[in-house]
Amino acid sequence: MCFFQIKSLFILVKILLVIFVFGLLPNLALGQDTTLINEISFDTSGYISAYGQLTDNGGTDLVPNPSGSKYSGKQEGYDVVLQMRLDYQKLRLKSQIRLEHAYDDTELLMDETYGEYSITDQVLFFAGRRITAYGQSYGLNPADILHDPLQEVKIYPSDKSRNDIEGTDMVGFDWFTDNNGTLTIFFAPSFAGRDNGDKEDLLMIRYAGFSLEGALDYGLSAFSGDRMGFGLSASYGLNEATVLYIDSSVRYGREKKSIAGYDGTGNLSIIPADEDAIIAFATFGAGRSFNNGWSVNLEYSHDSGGYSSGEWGRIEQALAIITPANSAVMERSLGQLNNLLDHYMLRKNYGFIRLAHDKFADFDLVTEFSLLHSLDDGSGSIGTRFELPLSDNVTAGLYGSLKYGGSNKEFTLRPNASALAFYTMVKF
Amino acid sequence: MLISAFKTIFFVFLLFIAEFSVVHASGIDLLKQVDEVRAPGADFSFKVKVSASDGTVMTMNVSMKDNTKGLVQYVAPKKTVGRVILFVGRNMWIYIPGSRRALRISPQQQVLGGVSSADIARTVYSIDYAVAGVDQVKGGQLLHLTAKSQSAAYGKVDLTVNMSAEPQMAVFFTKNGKRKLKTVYFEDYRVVLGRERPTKLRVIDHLSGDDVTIISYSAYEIKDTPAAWFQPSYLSRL
Repeated sequence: MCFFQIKSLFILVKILLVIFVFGLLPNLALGQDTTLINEISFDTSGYISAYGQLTDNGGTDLVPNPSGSKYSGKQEGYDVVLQMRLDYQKLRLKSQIRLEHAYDDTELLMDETYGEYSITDQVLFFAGRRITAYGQSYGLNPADILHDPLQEVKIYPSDKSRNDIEGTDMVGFDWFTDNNGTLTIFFAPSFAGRDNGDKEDLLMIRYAGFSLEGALDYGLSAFSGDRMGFGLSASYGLNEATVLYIDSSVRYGREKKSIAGYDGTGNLSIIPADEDAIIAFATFGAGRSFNNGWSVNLEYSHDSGGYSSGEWGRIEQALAIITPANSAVMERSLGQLNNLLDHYMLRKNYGFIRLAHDKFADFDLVTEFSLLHSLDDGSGSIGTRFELPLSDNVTAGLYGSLKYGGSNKEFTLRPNASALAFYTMVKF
Repeated sequence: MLISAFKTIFFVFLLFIAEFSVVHASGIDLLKQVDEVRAPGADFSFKVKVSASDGTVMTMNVSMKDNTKGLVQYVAPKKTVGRVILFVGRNMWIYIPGSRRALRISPQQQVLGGVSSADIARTVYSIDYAVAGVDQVKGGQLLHLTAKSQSAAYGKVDLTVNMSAEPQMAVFFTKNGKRKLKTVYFEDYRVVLGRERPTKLRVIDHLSGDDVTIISYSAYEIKDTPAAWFQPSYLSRL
């Protein structure tokens, strides 16, 4: 029996190639040409993380049998992330490989591997798999169009959970212009798929810049793909302690399917996603840091593609009809509903608040409280994190989450309404 | 009679303007001299060690360009390696490796102890502050500085310099100028790149029971860092 499950032979071959390039090439060069090795800079880093989590694992109408659906009252996992960087003259190679164990599965993943060549000091060509992120928002980020937050392991701090994902295969260039702007154009072919589930080729043109006088930066993008559209991000320093920001996108096509109705036996009539709809999604935020070390972020998000009250009402009624699922038709409908509701967010209006302190209570206790609240149905999710450095490179953390709002609301559709996790990370 | 009164008022007005101009001009010149003591040129780099009273130590490499652009790269401890703070004009961003994006922060955002990101990434005062007045004090002068814009890290700074325009002490106040935030002492003057410069800043944080944080400077070097490095989109490459 294999110790770990490799997604495909292709990934293994690519990882072996990466190890060859990063590990053996410099050694070969050392043997052949000392001038060459002097010009090569090679750096490795990474981290080992492990967690254990206890959750309230009661069934819900949508997931009546949690243990049969990869939910567990007790869960543990670990991962090893290795990052490598090799620089030789104008060429840079970067890679991130991750060994991840969760839900009794172990996977070897190549999150990132790409080459970058400096055509000039201001123009960089790149090709390979890259992890990219856009926007300023902490809660819901409409500008981060290549990323699906469902891929993240939220137990960990956001800089780790956002980083430990498979990137996007792309080829393109960055042009750092003389007027403090960056023009990025890349093409992401569809053959390898993307972490947000998109399946079509994607071309993105993005320009980011800032004002020297006005404490303002902005990013404008246009992109094709499954749901083509435009993105806009901007942030503004209002004063010495306050930052205002917006992240938004306008896209062609709605990703959510809805329910038209159901019959007495539990058969659902599903309306396909509207491919002609124009969907606007925006987050307006403000951040403030205080002299005592606390910082706070407040955000409001609106997604015109979220379920309306009428649509949500039909979903709730369907759930009531097909549960408990005591027929094959109802079982199938429940599966359809699970699939239909498999999105990070479902409704239109949200409020988000985050309070953080890097060094709370006279010792290095990283403290974070967050709340994501649906303004449409009153449900939400509270998260609390305490993280303590045990040494320069070892931290231990405690993360608790609680979902509220009553049954069959957006945040209480699935099990694990409350969870408590302990984790530790070792950086090397 | 009326003409005589008008002449007197006009004369007094001229005197006032002249006095104001002299103070203003001499204050600006003095502030520029202070900046030249702290910054050996428009383009240079140095190392910074920030030591808090609880024993925590952070080390950073700082690159300056055109005096208005500062790039702070964290090199220790391990948990902060790869972090970058970028300060350009009135803009400030932080890049945390895992986040994969540069996030705008405010100049007041704290780095360690009583030290803010602006304290590390800004080596000159004349960009953010105007001279509101100059007083003669024993052994030197006291410059009263006020923020030029809302995005400056502090509302008011009282900067004491000696007769050679070398900064000795700075007191930083809140936006309304009423509350004292911190006091910084410029110490350990040594010859660095051709002249005496302070290589240690002792920061007294009045908001945390007068906790002391030490900022030590070393390895000054005249260096022209590529312009592209001072763009938020570039930070992921550093």
